[in-house]
Amino acid sequence: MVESSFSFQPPSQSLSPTSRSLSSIDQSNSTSQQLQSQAATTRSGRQSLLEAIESDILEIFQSLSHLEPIHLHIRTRPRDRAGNNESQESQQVPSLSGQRQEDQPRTRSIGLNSGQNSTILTRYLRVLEIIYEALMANIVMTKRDIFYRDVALFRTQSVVDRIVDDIAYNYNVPRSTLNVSASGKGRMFGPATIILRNRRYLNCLNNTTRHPDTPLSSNAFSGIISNNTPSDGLSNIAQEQDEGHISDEVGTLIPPISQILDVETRARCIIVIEKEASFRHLVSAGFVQSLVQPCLLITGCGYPDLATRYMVKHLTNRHRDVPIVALMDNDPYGLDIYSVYKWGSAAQQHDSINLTSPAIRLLGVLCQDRCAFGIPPSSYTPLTVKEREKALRMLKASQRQPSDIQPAGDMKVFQNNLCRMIMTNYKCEMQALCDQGSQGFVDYLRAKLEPVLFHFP
Amino acid sequence: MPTLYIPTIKQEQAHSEGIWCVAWSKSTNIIATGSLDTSIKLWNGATGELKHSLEGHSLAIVSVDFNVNGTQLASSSIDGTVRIWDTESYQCIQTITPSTGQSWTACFHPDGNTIATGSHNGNINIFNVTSGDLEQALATKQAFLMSVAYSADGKYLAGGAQDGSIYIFNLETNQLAHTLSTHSSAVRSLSFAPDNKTLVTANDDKCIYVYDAEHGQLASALTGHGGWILSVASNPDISKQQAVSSGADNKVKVWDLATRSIIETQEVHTDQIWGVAWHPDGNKFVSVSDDGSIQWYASSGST
Repeated sequence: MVESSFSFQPPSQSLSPTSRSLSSIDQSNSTSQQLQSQAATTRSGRQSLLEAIESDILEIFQSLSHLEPIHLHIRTRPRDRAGNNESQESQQVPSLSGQRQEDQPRTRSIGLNSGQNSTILTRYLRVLEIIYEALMANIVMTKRDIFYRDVALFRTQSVVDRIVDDIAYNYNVPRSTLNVSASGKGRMFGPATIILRNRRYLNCLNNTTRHPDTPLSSNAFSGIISNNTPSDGLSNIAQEQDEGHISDEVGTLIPPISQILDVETRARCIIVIEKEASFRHLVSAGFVQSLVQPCLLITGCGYPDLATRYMVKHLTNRHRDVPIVALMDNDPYGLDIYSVYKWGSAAQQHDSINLTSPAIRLLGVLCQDRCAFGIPPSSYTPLTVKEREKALRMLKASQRQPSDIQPAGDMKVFQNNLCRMIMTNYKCEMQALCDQGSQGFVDYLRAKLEPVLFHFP
Repeated sequence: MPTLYIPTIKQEQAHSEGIWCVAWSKSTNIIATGSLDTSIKLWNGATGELKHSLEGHSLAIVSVDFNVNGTQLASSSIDGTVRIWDTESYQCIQTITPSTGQSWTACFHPDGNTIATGSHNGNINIFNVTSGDLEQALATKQAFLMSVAYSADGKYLAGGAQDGSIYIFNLETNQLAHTLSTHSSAVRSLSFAPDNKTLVTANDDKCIYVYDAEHGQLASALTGHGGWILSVASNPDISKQQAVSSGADNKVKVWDLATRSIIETQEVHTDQIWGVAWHPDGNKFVSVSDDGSIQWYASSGST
């Protein structure tokens, strides 16, 4: 019998523009009825969207076949000068700069008449293509995924963000209908089961490999399930892939906290990883299954959103004897992300009791790892001015923390790492560990985990 | 080939964290070490015994420097302050608090009245020791200025930056005499030779570059280290024309600048070596490391 065994309050109603998961908070207010009607709209929305995209592409082909110049017509949004990218996360919150619209909505016609327009047209078409693929395969991607599909073309993430939002506006659908998610980017992989409030289960050992022409829902468990199949009794219960939580390529997308009833795991260690790329690397290398002691991998894909932080918090509450460690880049941002998990963020200070996991410890990448693991000097790049300023600001802020902050030694480790970074003036990404062959990263992690896994309290 | 400099005394666990800087006073035979553990310790230069621990900085110590007569010690820290300590009473007699980012390593002017510091935005700042006021700010090309050094006669002030640039100011004419930008990686340490004209510089490209400071020309490039060079110090004995360097390769190397060759390589430390300093007679030196230890070396044939 599963009963709700955690006791934290529901997320508070924060409409601060810097809050990164407004849409997940808004979802928590939906009734199940709304959810059902949303699902219906989504299905028909998907179909008509596919048709609309197809007809726009057909128009281009027709121009080509008539040897006429091609055009893509896009209705662009009024340019929001005051907002930053984060305030555009949720479609439900009215534009904060509504009174300050510089332009009226207009239909823009992009052609190949200039070098700049050619690039713009190419970018729009590329994003449309990627979105169309995602819709056909029933896969959810993030804006970051889209960006990484063609970094040379897009050059910056904000270009992709704008185009995605323009496309959503043009076809008059919420961005989620494009199968592009902004929030809810956290993922997990390992011997854990998320039990949802609607009594469905998510098996986090699910690793589906995406084939563009295979609909996802049919191959929910065709991934790598090795000899370490969980035998904790839950495998007997019917496990349906929940429709609203399409499991993307790698790992299980962390659901909004309001939909989670509980999380069971038999992991002996939880590893929180900064970068999605490293998370994928470990999953595809079969790392979890290769260890003697089972581990659970979680990634927030950079700065964690609220759902990821709640998940980590919940796991540490529910499974207090399981050590939890953080694997970040050896740079100020990596340490900052670690501190968000551990001590909280400035934006969510009011909710910190539900969001912080003080038990999390820094596993790597530490400055001292350079000597211990023979990371070559070429893997290090100098800190930029902004990174150095950030590190100094973080140090100042850490000195303002109450001196009895628990656990006591961890703050010193954190400060020492920042000092070392500033002193050497170098940073190093996790990817650097792959420089000596991709096995290097796995070996590093194994060596680092040994004292954690085999420490007898 | 006989070993010219042999390791002698070692002080293990001299600090609870890595030791990042060292200085050897000229007349009072005291060694000062500054550490990530936020303390500065003073040691008997002959016996290696701990004399005193100076507390006060709240973050890691990045540089220590004695004035010429050894009565004062200047220390700078990541906490953003520069402190002046009386080496007899062990009191902190002055705390200089530059604006954010306006100090890095600090060194005394030979006359002891002012201190020069590097900075995060490239300025070389000169502070008055007694009043703590900023007297002068020498602007450079805005790269992190990681190292500063005076020539012993006070004529030149040199600064080395993260982008490899080296600035030589002529303090007699109060002009920027030379900007040397032949190399592009960080210059963490520089040291004038006792001839007051030769400048020995450490570079992250694993080379030591020796310059003629008067004419602003590269005299030689010394290779041999296997990693970033963290510290160089010229031998104060003008007859010897030597320099010692230490690196991220855990090695200490003594160089003959005339023949441009390595005299000695010692690998005693188990971690990277942040600082080296000579005894004023040029027969002994010390090295300090991230392994928390201080190692003395003496030239064979000397006491």
